[in-house]
Amino acid sequence: MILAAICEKSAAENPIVDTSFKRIDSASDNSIIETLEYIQSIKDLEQSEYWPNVKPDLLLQNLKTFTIEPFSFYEGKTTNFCAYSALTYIPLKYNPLGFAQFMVELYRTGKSRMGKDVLQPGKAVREEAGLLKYKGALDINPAGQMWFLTLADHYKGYLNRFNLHFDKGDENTFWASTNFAKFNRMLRRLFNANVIAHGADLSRPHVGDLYDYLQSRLKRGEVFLYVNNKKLYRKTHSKKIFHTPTHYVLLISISRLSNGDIELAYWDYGLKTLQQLSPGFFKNIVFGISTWVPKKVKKS
Amino acid sequence: MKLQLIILSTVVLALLSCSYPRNFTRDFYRENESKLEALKNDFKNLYHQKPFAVLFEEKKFNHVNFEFITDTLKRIYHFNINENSLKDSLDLYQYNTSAILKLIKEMKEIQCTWINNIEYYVNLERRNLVMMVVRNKALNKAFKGESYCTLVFFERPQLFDGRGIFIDRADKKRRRQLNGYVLRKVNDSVGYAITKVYR
Repeated sequence: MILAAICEKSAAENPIVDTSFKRIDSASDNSIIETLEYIQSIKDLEQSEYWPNVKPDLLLQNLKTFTIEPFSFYEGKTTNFCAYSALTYIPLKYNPLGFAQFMVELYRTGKSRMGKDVLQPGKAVREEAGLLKYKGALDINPAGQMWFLTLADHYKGYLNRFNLHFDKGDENTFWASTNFAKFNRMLRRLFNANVIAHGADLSRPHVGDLYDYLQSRLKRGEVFLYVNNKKLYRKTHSKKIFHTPTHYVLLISISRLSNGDIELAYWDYGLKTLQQLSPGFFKNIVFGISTWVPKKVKKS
Repeated sequence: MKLQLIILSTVVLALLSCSYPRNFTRDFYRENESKLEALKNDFKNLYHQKPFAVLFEEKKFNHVNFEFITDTLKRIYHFNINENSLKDSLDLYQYNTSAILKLIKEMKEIQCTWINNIEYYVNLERRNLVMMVVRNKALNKAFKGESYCTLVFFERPQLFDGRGIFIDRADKKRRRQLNGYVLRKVNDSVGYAITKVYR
């Protein structure tokens, strides 16, 4: 399936960044080759004064990895970056060249435009990128750290009001967290498309049969689920009275098994995961559903 | 006077019910060292053959969450260890079924709720450690709720400060962390943390 859309005026305002959205379903797709050629062509990337702890060679190496293996993009252990990681699937899958150009521009000038917004992170954030540690593969991914910290610094929701200013270690705190409205706002503003959202931070979506609804959404675009992570990945034996969602995943596929259970394939933590869950349990853990539908190109 | 005594006793009792034995991990490790080391070695060998992770989902240690791991896909299936479906799935995905079933039995005996291989990085170089989480009655307190003893087995001796806290090899002012917890020393290559979650 090839879907295409053109991002609005930003291309004219910032000719360096490619802002088109076209889904890539094969590693041999021209977009991937173009992106790799673009990264390969950068010979003179000097150490950025804006990002003192991000080495240019490692940045370019990370960008190559993102292009070749978008599903290996990883938010890191114990961070609150899962929302940013989930939505990164869109630029990596639909516009890897635009994403690479955005990152290089951000590295060189300390600011860059994506979609409707110019992202210009503060000094504390810029100085922290490249220094995050004990986060698994994110430790060796300064480009990922730059991207996550930039998004967390720029977009704010009500949860971030508990901690508005970045201090060391804030990648694990409310400073980096994302409520459902903020997640949808980021989808709309960063990647030009229609976003259809159901659900909320404290109540489950009213969409009739959840399985049927998700099946139909997957045919239209990319589907993100806002879920209760403590139930999806059991972390304790104690039973909680109140359940809240804390994690975002990209839904890849969903099917119903002969015993009535639901088999769910989703992407998070740098891997595709497949789980079989009872319909009741599944309904219980899903709090939000966002469908990102790229706008179609108008035929002239 | 009587009322004061009652209040004082209540406060002391409440405080006692919030804390766990100071040397719990070291005592627990010393008493169970051979079992824990054997479990770690068995897991490491089996993981090397074909990656997986095991988690006990409930306090009775009858239901596991088994992760079949490949480079690009993780399958998480839920099993009752007393039923044949676990064995059938291990056979289906070509794991060393008998050795894994033995490992799960050993985990249950020692109340190990979660065992996994963890990747970490030192100077851009990937390394591995085995993480094992143990449930024990001594760590369950009325007011504080459940806690777990997380043991990490490094492949080589680590640096630690005078208080027995593991420190970063590259930045000696920085304390090493695992899942956000500071690690304390059991011995040169084994660390522990008392955690509120088991993964």
